[in-house]
Amino acid sequence: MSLPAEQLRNRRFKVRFLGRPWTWVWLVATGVPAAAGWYLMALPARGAPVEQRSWFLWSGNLLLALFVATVLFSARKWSIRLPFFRDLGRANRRMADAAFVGIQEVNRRIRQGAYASDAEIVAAAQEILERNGTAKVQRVELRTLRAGDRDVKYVGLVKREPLGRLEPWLEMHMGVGIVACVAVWLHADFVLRHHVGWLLVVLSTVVLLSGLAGALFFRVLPPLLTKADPGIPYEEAGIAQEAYEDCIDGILATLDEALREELAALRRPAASRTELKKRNDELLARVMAAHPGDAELIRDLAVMAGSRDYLGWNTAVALRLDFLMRLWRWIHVPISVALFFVIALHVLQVLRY
Amino acid sequence: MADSDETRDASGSSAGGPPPGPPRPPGAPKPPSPPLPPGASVPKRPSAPTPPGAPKPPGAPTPPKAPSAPTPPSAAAPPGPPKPPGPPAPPGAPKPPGAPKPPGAPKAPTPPGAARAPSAPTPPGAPKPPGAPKPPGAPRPPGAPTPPGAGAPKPPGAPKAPGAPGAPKAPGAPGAPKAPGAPGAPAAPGAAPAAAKPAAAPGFAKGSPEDLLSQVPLFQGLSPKMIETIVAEGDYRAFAPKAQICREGEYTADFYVLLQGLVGVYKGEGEERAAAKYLGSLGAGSWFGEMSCMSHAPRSATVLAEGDCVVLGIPRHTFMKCYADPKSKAFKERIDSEYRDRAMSNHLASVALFRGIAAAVLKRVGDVAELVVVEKGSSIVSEGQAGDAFFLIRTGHAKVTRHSGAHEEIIAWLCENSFFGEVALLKDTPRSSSVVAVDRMDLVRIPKDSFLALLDEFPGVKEQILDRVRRMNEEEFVAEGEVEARLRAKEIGTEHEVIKAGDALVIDMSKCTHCNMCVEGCIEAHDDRIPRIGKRGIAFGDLLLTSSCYNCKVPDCMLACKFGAIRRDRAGQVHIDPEACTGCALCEPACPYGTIHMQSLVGDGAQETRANPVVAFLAKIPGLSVLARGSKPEAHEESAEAGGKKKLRQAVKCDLCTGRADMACIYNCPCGAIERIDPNVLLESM
Repeated sequence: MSLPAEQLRNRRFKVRFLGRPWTWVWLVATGVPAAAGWYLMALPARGAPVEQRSWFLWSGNLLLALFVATVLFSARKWSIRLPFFRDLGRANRRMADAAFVGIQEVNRRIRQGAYASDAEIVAAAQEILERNGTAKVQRVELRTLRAGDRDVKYVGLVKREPLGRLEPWLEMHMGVGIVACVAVWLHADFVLRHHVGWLLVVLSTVVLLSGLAGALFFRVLPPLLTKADPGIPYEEAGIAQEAYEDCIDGILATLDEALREELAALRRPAASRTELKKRNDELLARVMAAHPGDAELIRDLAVMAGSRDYLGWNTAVALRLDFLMRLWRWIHVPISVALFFVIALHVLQVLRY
Repeated sequence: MADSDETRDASGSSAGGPPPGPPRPPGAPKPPSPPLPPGASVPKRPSAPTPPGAPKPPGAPTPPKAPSAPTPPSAAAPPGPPKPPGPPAPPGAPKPPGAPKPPGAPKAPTPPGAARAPSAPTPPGAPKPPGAPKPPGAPRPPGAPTPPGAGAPKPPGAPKAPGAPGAPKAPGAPGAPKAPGAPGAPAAPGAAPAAAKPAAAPGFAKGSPEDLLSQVPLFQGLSPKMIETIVAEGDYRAFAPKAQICREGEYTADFYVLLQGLVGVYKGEGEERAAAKYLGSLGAGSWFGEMSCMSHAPRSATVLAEGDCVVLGIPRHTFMKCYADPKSKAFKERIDSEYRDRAMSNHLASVALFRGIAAAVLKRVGDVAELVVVEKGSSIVSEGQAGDAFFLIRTGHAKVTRHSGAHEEIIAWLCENSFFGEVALLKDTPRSSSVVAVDRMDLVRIPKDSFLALLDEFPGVKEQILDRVRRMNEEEFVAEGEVEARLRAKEIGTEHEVIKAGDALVIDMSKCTHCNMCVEGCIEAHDDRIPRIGKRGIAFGDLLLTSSCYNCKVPDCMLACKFGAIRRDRAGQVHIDPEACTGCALCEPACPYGTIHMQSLVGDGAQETRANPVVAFLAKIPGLSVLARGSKPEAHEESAEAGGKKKLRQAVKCDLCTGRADMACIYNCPCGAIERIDPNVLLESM
């Protein structure tokens, strides 16, 4: 069942990176000083090797810090595999349990209008956490949802994340990464002197562009993917298709060689509905006339082959969109890794000189 | 809602219902089973377990399930007035074989080899003297279910900590030193379990656990085998004055028998004692908690210790074993009788329809009414049938359907504290719609004749009810929550039964990039490396209510589990106790949302239990091995043994990352596309 767009919009949990005001504040707050620094320091230093080296040194250090910060996202992503990070801030189950009960009581009172202000609600909820000794591992959030023409307030109990949720890390990765990749040009003073410099600028530009493409992809493609819903998770459609194929092969293996040869066409997926219909009409008419005793079995095989093909067609759009998203990862991530190797090479080169 | 009267009532006339629901997505609830006679209490039969390791094809329908445990009538209401202990049998009276022993009666000869507890008193939780014989059944067997709130089970042979719960010991067992400050099992939130003190308060005579229990009037109807079961599985708990034994609104389901001391029963708003209404006190020999135990409803009253008291806590599944025992019919009858009285009086007093009606009238209603349990999918009333009864809903949910042309249309949703069936009786017309239970329901059924006779006998009441029926609207007369329930039912359709859920994991698919970090996070968060999250479920537009546990208000899985391995915590969250799970797979088909799956613990299915290779590699590097170590503050990791036997399978479902920082799926989603929220809040916003 699909709901009107206005209703769906009302319950979006969060707005993403590009929709957040602080993203633009960050870009302006870092971009303007960087451009100003280049204009005031790098531009006048052209032709003066000592001053220019000073610009390269300071801007390079800053740039390196930005790139390291960008990589922290991947470190955070990988941290889940380490039990040490996984178990940070583990809560006591019973106390958390008691706190949850208390928070439900607060929510009930909110509905009864027992609190005069939001601050009072939060204070009451916080007091429950303090009382139950879970304030260090849990926090309260006062949330509002739009219900028709009124707001519904409730207190949500959120466990404190030791490293923070991955979503802000991704946004930090995007924000810092954009600035870092653009700042490479400023750092180089728009002059590329050696191969490593060339490579660094090209790779950072490709990473920047692929990153921006990714931001666009992941904003546009998921809704399309949802719209192309085939009724079965497309990840599982392949398993179902394989199951159909196994069944068809299994049945064919029990048939006579001659009949098996004639029905071998069912093994190949049809490219379109028209082709499927044409194939079935011809095949069934011919083979069933020749083997009337196996008519039921042949019909079953045709149904299974048709189901397999329909599954393929129905999930084709979803698979294509999914492929695009995967493809993006296979471009952005390896190039980013290459970029870091080049950065390391550049740092070594600088240290050598 | 404008059509309150009609949509409330199964026999209502002209309510416009919501449009027919969307096509059922994979994993959606199954259609109801064939109808049963109105008001029938459906006998349960054991489910056929799924063959081990049987693969489930994608999208395959869940096999039809059958409830497994005998079902009593149920209700949730505070206990009634104090009950004195039953009269003891005269000393020296002959004792029939297997009959409970009266206090002070001479002991029956101990069977050879059977260890008996000495007869002098020991406070519950007191340290055991070295070498003291253990009472039969005292050690909790490995894998035996631990009641909620009880401590972690101890391995066999482990020394018993002073005051540790578990082995039931007669309050005041002999030879044992007094235990200063040794508490029983942890009590309700905020409760301060008392130091177990010897019998200062009125209680029972001393003896072995069996002797002690046989002195409790309630247990005098129990077979010796069931007494032994209670001894083995029950927990003695000592509470200090003012300590909380159970709290109104929480989802615990233990049955309590007060062995010593006095407790007070309170009902009312919030935690403030001053605002709560004092209902009365219960003395030694009384019992309470049967409402939640039998009906799965939250506690309907708060019980506080009024002095030092000792309570025997009996886990729900143990209680139900006793209740269903064919040799303990007297016990069942006694429970039924008391339960009916308490449930009926409490429900009638709380139902909105009878609000403001005198207690005498309600008593009259209660005398003619009967408690009915209807299983999920059963038809309670059928369209076109003559109206024969009026129904009040105590627990559970029902949908009201009506034939519209060739198809059946859902026109309303009924939840607890609402009622139906009155219009057909008052107008003397056939039912104009059907009512089908969508989960296990407890109903109060008032037969037509009795209902009409009651109205005739009390003209004032009749006029009041007629008047209310005429001008009924949700805001004034419908129970709290029902208005929202009906609105939601109209907005989203009721076929998916989402309203039953306590909370659900919701993925905003318009933001999900299918990066699988949620699944990877889930795998890493569990030592068995079995993912609990799946991207299947019930879709509402872009929102996907995943096939992660919904924490149902009436969990079908919990009802199906015969071993007490599925329990709710105080917050209503449903947990599988891996140590108590036997891998029988009764719960898997019982879940209407397909959230439970059986994980093989042997052979190929156990491959996930291998350690993460990255972690294994790091563990070998000096200095980095700390990263490969995690803390395990609570022993809730999966156990491959149950009852001393190697388990082949293990029921697995989302455990809300209990004890960890955040739910791994939410914590690791880079898009902020996942939230675990109460569907009631979510649907209200739709």
